[in-house]
Amino acid sequence: MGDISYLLPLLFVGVGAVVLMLLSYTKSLSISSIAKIALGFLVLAFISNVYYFGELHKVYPYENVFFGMIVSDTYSVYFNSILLVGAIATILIGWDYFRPDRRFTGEFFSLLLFSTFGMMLLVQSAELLSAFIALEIASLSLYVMIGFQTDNIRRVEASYRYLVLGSLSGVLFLFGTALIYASTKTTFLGNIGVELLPQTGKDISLAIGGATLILITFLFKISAFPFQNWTIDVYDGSPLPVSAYMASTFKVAVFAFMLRFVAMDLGYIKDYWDGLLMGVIILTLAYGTFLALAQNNLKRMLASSSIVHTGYLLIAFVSIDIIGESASSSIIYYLIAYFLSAMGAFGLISYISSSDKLRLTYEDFKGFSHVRPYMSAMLSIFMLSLAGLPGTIGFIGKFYIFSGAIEAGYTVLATSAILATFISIYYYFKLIALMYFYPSPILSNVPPLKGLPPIFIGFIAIAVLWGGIGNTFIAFFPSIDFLIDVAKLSHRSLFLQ
Amino acid sequence: MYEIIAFYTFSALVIGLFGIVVLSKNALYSMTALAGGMVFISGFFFILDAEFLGVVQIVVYTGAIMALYAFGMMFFDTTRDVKEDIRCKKIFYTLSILSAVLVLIVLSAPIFSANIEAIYPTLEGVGNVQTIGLLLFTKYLVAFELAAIMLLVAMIAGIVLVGKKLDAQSDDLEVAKELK
Repeated sequence: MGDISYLLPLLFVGVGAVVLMLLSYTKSLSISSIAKIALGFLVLAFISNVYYFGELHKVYPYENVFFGMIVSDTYSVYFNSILLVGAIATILIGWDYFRPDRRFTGEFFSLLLFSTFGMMLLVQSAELLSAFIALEIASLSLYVMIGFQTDNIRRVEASYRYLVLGSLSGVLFLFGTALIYASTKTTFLGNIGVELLPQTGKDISLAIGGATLILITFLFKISAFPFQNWTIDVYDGSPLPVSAYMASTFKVAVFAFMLRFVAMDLGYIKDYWDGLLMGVIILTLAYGTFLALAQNNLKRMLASSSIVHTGYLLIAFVSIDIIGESASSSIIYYLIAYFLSAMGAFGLISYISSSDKLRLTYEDFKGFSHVRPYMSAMLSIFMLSLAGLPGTIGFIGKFYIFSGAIEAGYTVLATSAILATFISIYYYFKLIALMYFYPSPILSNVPPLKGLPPIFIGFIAIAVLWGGIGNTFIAFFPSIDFLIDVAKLSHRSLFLQ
Repeated sequence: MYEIIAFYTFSALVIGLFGIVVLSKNALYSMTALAGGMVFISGFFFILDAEFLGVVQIVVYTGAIMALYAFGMMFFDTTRDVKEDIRCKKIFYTLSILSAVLVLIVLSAPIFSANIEAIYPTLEGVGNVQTIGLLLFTKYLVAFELAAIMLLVAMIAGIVLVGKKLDAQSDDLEVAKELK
């Protein structure tokens, strides 16, 4: 197959977005059939993407036309799979949530596909300018997805807040690109590092400044410490499936780009960041933990705990220049672990609250297990995985990150992360305790497990358990170690010529 | 020679107009002066032989951003209290004639001199519109085309956010009709 086969996933999603845009004009199609069409395009893209999964390659498709701006390697295929599964999961979880009486229309799915398109492009872009445009495509559609229900004032507020702050951080990215171009005369990843190398010992403060501005955008998008203030309000204000989409997929895409950028070009500049990043990590962990402890609302608790998880991920990010391959593969593995657990938790809560408009607090879950035992079992699995207890995928993810940090010599960071994990058990287990150890059921009008979303969430729950048990710790058990093996391969594919 | 005259003319005009922007109490006057100042700033780019940036300056700032400002002002209706009150007609006429003569001189100046050459051109021989065009449609083609997709998304976003309000309004109207 020619170059086109490497671009097929992108093409399917992009064309699908345009087709959905045109279809949503016709009133004859119901919203569920539009959702089915969106799902079809995403599945097609996923199949054409999985074709190259785990195969060590690096191709610049149509190099004489695209001039190496878009790359397809094992790394991008890996991340595209996560992103596509995320988009598919969002549609499946929100199957009952996206209804016309909630003012959802066909355009919503078009925007969802556009945003997935932008994220996939961000993962595949081998150049800073196209990365900026990809980032903006992804965020622009996300802003509108958050504020889609224009009659709800909280949605509009969250959307507007994210729009203003997000554009500001996007501008910093562009400014950083300009500074890097001024210093190295190139914006292509791979060339920047080559241009910086002979300047060793000279003044490269322009390049450092530019890279730091891009780092700020990155920290903003993943909501690390000084830039985390938007997170809780925006997550809380958005529709639940959209919060799930933001928490899991958008973070993955931004991490994928930054990991590629730092691994390929900024090994030298990263030394300047070490102290800075250590401070950022410890403060992110502390601040996120305190925020999560203070929340009473379940959605806000998940939002603030996502800040803590950002902190864990950044630990592996710091040690990338010392233990490159295992650090980046542990980041990728943790991203999958967090993706599964957060998607499941957000999805289940969105299913529970899909019948009425209440905002779920801890108190509402008192005695929930007596009403809906299976749902509480699944919710407990997700909470255990988020807390990182053995037997779930969250434990393996944390294990790789913490052991990597100790191996790289960042013992302080590992210690503070373990402390944060201990504290996190409080706010995750509080929910489990309330569900099982109280008699009086409050949520009695929860819909029973019916339809597509619960089946899908059940699958996620099984995947979370399998990820925890199915590894080489137990012999003769089908393992998912291939995930970490392919993650290592994809790190290697970054440096292929 | 001409570059220096042009430079000082543009500088004086830009400083004067931006002075009005800051000092004037009337929003309409400040805005008009701001638009004028932006146009004259583009003059600097032309002198530097960066004609692309000059045109972009006029299109983006004077065209788009000033139009936005003007739109905002119309929304809040701040122009209501402006009353043109020309006390001394002679000054007004003199200024108009002077500016007309100035435009004539500016336009006809190249007849009397050689073509104006930049003192510090960014590139020899090639105009930078061609250079940017070449770069944009070869090396940065992907980014250029992707920007089109970004604009498409922005357009959908705008229609979705505003269009639904219009729907709701028409629904309300129908409900009101049914009630009657």
